[in-house]
Amino acid sequence: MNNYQGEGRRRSQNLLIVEGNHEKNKLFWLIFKCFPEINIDMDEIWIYGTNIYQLYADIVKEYGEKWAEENDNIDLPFVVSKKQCPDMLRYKEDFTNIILVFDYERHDKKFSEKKILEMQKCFVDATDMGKLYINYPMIESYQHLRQLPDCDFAERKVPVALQPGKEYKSLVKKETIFRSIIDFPQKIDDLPTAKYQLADWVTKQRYVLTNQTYWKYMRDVFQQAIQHNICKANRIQFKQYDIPVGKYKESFERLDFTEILKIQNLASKDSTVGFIWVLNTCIFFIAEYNFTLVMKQREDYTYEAQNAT
Amino acid sequence: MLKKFTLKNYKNFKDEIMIDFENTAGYQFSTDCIADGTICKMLIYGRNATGKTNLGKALIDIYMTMLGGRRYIDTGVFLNADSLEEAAAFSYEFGFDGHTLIYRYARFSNQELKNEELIVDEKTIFRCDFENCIYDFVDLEYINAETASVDRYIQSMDVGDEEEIQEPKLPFLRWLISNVALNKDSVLIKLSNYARRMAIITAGNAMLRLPKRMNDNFYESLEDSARLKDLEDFLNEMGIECKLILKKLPDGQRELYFGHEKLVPFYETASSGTLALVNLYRRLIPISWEPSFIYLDEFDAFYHYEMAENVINYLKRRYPKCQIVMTSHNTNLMTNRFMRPDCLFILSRTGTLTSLCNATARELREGHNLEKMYISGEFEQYE
Repeated sequence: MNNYQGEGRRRSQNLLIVEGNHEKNKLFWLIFKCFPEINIDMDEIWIYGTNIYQLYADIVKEYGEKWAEENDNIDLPFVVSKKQCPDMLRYKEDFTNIILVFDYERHDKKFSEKKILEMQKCFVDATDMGKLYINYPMIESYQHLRQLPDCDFAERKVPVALQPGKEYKSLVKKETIFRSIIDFPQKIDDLPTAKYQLADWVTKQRYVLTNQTYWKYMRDVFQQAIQHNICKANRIQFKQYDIPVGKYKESFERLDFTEILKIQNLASKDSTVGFIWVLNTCIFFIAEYNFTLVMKQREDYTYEAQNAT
Repeated sequence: MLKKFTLKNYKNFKDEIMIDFENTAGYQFSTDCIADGTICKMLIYGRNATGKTNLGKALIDIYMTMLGGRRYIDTGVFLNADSLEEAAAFSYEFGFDGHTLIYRYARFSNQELKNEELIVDEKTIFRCDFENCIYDFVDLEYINAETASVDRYIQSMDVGDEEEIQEPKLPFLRWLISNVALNKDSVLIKLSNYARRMAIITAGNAMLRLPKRMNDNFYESLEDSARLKDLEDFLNEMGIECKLILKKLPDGQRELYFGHEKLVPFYETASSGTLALVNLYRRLIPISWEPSFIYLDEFDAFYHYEMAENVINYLKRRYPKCQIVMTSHNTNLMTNRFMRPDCLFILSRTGTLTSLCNATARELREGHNLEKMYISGEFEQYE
């Protein structure tokens, strides 16, 4: 034995900063299952549950009030680890993805246009300081499609008066076409003991193929949801919902999350007549990772899925 | 232009390693790294001892094969030490005015060829198997070299063992170029011109403090005050502020000084960075020919990060068409500001060379911080 080896460095880690809601971990779990190209192992993900304003306060604590003005190079793994496990500090140099997912939460008592805008302006690159995805009004918006395709999604909005979050959740539950299709893997996951028996049974029944088709089918659903949300973001920012075939990538690259946030802030200012455009940005992570994942081979998956069901 | 280079069983490269200079990804930024659809500014990273220097030596091997001369003193092991194969294989693919030319050969050692083959526009021109003395001049006509008296070449191959000659197996290509009157548009002339203008410059080792006599020619050239001023300007522009003075000593020797209140001898006092930069200058700038290919090994080993940037930008401006392959450990240069993901490469411990854009499924964009991504392990599987 030698003693040359010091403490090893663990690279290629992923940090997912969410509000601690189980749903979100599941959404990303599903995303990574459906898009294996992204090559993120769920076990490699470090999940930090916090509220966006709490996170803001933590950043201020470390970098001072003027961090946004001064364009400080914020190290979120450091901020988070200092708070959570000060004996084992982490640094962003070890993280290949830093993703922040928060609900818009207009009705939150701590809601601050200034703070949320500063955060949105600062966190723009998942591979560097991190990327902030704000979901309007909440994470559930990715399921807020009544059919595929859903042309009404263009003008879908919710009144600011619709609060608290439970109300929106039940609205989505009522309207979504996702529920039935998304349930399947969640159920497997929810039953830890039965999971292995079920898996065994599935293998014996040669249902593995169907299972594989399920991921492909969900991949297609995600692709469509992303396309709907690209159109919607385009609608919000440029007042144009329909995007010609072949122009999706170009349109996507023109989107500016800060501009969208400003528009949402304006639209939702009034607590009685104000509204929020329904838009899910966190699924854009896939499009940003590699846009071909969003458009590729859609027909095949739909075809296979239809045959399987 | 060199389009592809393939190497096998040479030094630490047991398996085949390929550089495809045409494998570009269409980025709209740092377009000056590409010339005529071919990578012309390449930067290679890699952990220590992955073979960055060896790769340079291999790339430049064609220079010695085609032009002869003393092969650089390389006492190291030539063949891969884990392989049972008896020869190292080199293959170069060039594009000259719409013609594709492939020259490949295998070597038993630094001195001895096993075989060589030339293919132009997918037509085999000749094949020489020196091991079994089989010479097949398939289609010399295609390159207008049918007048070559190949018998004399074969005769010259047939020398007795007792005769001591420097290179027992004279490559046919070298013989052909020097013994046949070729048209000046001939692809062989173009190939020979390209190979003649290849250079490898190693900055990061003990070569810095050269024996004095090696500097004589250089000092002599600096007697021209414009030349001396040019060197001074170069150093200043790259980030070393100094004033240079050249003196002729009573014994006829020349000596370079830093101009201060008192003269300070240059070579004895210059910093490592200054010496490396002057070495680069000496090797490149005063030469009368325009280089076609330069392998700059660890070119910025002693440079401040800003100087490294200045040097790259200078090389881009001064040699827009020249294929320059640089190696470095300076990750600050891993940036889209003046490089691009299809021109930045990682040489792995297993001997694979992968461009950053092919080392991740992620779509790399101009705004990405490549250095940070490299350090955090985005390209880990290819390191």
